[in-house]
Amino acid sequence: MSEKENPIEPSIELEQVDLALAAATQGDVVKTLELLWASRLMDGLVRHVMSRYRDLDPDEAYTALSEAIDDFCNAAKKGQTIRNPKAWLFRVTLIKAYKLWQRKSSEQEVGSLDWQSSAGDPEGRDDLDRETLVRRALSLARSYLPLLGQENVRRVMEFYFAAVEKDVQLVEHSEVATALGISEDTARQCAHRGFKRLKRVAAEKGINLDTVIPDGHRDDSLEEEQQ
Amino acid sequence: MIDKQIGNAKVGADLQQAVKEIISRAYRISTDVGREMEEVLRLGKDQPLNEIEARQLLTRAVEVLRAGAARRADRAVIEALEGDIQEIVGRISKSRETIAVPSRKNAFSPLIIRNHNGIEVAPVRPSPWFHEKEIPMMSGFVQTTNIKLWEQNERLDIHLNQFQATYGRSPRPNELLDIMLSKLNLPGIDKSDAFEIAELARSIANNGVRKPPILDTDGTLLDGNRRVSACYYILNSEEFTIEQKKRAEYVFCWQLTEHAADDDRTRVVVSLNFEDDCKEPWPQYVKARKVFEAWMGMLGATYPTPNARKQAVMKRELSQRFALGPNTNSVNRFLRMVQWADDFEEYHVEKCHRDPYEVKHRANEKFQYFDELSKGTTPGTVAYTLNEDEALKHLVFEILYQKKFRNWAQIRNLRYLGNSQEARDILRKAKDLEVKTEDDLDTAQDMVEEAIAIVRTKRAEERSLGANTRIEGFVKFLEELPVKAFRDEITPENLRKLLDALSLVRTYAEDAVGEDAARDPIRPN
Repeated sequence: MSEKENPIEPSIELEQVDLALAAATQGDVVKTLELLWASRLMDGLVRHVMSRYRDLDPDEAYTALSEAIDDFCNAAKKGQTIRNPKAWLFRVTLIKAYKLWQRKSSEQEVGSLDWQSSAGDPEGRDDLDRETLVRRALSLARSYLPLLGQENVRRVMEFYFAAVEKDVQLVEHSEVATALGISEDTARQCAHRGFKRLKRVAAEKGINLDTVIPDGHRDDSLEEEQQ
Repeated sequence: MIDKQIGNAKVGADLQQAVKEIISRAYRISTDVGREMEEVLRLGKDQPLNEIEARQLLTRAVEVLRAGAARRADRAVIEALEGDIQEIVGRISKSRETIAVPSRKNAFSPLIIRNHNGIEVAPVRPSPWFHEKEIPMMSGFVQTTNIKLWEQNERLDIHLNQFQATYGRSPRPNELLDIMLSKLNLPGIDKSDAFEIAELARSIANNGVRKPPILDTDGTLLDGNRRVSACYYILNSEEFTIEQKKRAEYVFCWQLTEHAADDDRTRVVVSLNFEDDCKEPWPQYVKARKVFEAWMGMLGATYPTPNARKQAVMKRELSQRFALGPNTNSVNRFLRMVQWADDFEEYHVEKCHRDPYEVKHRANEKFQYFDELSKGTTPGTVAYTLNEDEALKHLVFEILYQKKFRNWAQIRNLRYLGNSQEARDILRKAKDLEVKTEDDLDTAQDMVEEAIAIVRTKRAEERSLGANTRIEGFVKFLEELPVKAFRDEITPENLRKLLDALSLVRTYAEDAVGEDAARDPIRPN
């Protein structure tokens, strides 16, 4: 069907995802599913996951998305702030898919630290051990913040760590800006600089973040321009 | 609390891995996925799942939701998903046809007004009238960032058509906001803040949104695009304090009820945009006087007299108090203008014995002229020239009182009047000319124009006649300037200006003296 013939305009699809969030907030999971399905976001997410993780079979892609929707309904119902439901679902679906792919390909490089769920822990680590490790890791990561320079950079990075601690899945720059009383542009620049510097500091401590924060992440020229 | 021990110790492999995962998650949650999301939406549209895939996906989704609900003991969800799974899946899969286009009556409005700060959602009483019809509305608060601007706003008609022509689509909500804030680069739009959002934002930051924006039942903004844009501006600008940002975070709105008809929507828009609310803003004269009085009050209450730095701080406070922006430009301008208006009034009342109120009316009417009159503190500026020559100042006040200046731009050229007796004589004649008819006024204004034309011409002649003396002086100065001044004292900006000027005049100079003569005199051919 050509684009012109398609009765669903992109803006309406977007609106349906917003409506799905409203339904999830009210605890109506069937309506949430209906609206997400009507929006075609589910089709796009499945296609995207399958093209990104080619080793996953379709059923695993469906599982990743379904688990993300379950988390979505649960988070919305509990009153967790989801400012951008599309981006939220996108990110969580990818995280779920990544973990499935990791388990499947037996590469335990990064994903052994799922502190949200003790079920199926590949290393059999119990909850207490895991919590202690996460707490220590967060402390250690936070101990690097004073080395990042500017106060705003430190504040922004602390905000992201706090979000990780609370298992928030998506933090938009506007949200950081509002919370810290800075402009959105400043929040974006501070995040950019913060991760770049964090990578350098972590490397000095023997932690290589090359696979986590790619070189020239986002727009490196931006920082140079600002300096 | 930071664990200093682990921060300094050699980090174990497990801990390293955990830190890496935490930073990885922090990085992931911070990344902007806008472009990828567009791609996902396009994929969903271009490559939809087939019927079998759809059924498998939805079945899996219901299974996972059921399992999740069971794990959390969420009875409501368990009950909602009870029954034959294929029946539920069938119902969901039909939704693509049944809810293809959300209607205004949809039960799940994405934007619902809510209680905030102890103020509850309630009907607006008495019901407001719009274009001769009473239209019931509800009132309550909405989070600013949840309000989407209205893309049908006629105010944006040209911008929207231009955007459509340039990009082949309608602007997205964030682009619509950029249009309102004049951030989007569209050809032909010169003004930096075409919709004057910054000024409105300063008012809202101090007072909150006074007039509630009006929302449709589905959250569409029917009235208040500028106010909502201003709130976005406050939230994203470093100009405002946390308190001011809080004031803009939630907006008190009115919302149409579910019974509203399309005709009601039209009436709201017509009434608010075509029918004048007859509000007349305060004259600048009145505003400036208020600022001036407040400034005098501040100075009077400060002992000892504040130094220049302290005064600058006080003026910033004053500017903030009167919503005149983050710098002191407007305050300084108002203070200067009032001082000149006072001089003007004093002259006409004390020396010419005119009626004080009549004089005040004239000062109010011509208040913008005092902006030009008061500019400058150094020789060659209007204010300096007039302050140095009382007679000339009074002559100008007379002409201004008699409305014989055609426009305020003429005031600028008064700075050249000092040396021209001829021009002064003409101005005096213009002042003395008795005005009985409009033609008389025209004649007097022509005379003022003539006087100004004379000084402008003379000025050009003087500049040209004095060229030799000036160049001689400048060349001598340049030759005697120690070389180190170029390195240590002259700013790079001035050096660039000097080079630009030299390269500009070089061409003309060479033409005039002949190319050979212009060659380096030290190095013979």
